[in-house]
Amino acid sequence: MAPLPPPEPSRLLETVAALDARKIRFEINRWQLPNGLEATFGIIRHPGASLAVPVLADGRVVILRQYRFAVAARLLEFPAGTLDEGEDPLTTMERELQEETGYAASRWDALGAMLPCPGYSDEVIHLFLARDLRLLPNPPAGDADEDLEVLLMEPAALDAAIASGAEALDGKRITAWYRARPLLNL
Amino acid sequence: MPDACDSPHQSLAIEASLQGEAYGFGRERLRLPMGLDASFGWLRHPPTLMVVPRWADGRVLLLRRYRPAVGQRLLEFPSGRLAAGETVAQAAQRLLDRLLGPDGTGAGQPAAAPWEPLGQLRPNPGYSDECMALGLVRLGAQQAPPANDTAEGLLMGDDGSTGQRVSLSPAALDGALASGDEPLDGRTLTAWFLARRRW
Repeated sequence: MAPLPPPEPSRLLETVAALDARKIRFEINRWQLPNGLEATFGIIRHPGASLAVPVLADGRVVILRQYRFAVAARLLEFPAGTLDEGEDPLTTMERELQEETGYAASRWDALGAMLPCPGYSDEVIHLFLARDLRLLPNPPAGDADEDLEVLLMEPAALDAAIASGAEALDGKRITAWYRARPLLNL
Repeated sequence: MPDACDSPHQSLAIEASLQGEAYGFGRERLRLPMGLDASFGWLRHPPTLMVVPRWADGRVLLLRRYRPAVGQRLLEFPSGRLAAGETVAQAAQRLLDRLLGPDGTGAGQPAAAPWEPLGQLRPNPGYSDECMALGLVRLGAQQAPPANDTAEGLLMGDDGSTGQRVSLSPAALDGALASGDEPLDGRTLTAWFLARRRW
């Protein structure tokens, strides 16, 4: 493999229109690309997010069945959350893990940064593996509009669910799982 | 495990919307299945596909594609939007023709093998309704991989982005994705995770 190319930001020439919605913003922008071409297209501005693969001492993973209005379905997803302004991604993840699953972790490994939709969103998701979990007697409350159920799954069952084709594929779940498996000797 | 939602949300009002060239964005007030009312923004995106092209020698064809939204050149499988009335298999063929056409090595060569579906990806279920069909296409033994592009590459998208063709062995791709240095395109990684099992 050739060395990785360095980042090459495009130059923003003009924001033609924009619409804010809670944590995200949609902009239609005119850009000049590094190759000199000019183009106008829409982009989601996102503050970034963190996601964790939480694994219990017996090897089971802690995973969520979460309602997602944008696709009108309940998807199998790992716990995740949006970064608050200026927040360190691990701090975000420690909080979200407690709120969404009721577990806290004391061993963390970084699994890299993932881009879920590089064609139209600048979102970066920071991936982590969370181990040495303990169930909190009084977990903090999560967001009121989160509609989710906590599940415990054997790794083989998660692999089978992904491979079955019977279920919609959540890209961040599979990317994080792909990166976590070697650290779990799977 | 159930995928379909047995109690979908109810739309209460479209508060604002903005239409881009290829997709629109709206802020909408919804009543969620749990009974809560809240305002959300989400992207309405046309259906898309991503194809994992496997050469007869076992290598895989990727693109090092410039993405203006993130300002980086990502390692990706070919992808695009479905044209009106087009099947996923036809769209996959169109993408491959574009990559391996007159300036490449595919001109006049037999059509690729059938589309092997790998699943339906929701690239970003938090704020986009995009549904991306993932599939594997096995290229024939007559089709030889083109040399990896070293110049700017082919014009790929209507956003002016370009992509360089790169053919890699499965081990080299795994190595790149595991290095921790490569920015991970979630769509490519998902497609690879599924295609790898059928290699």
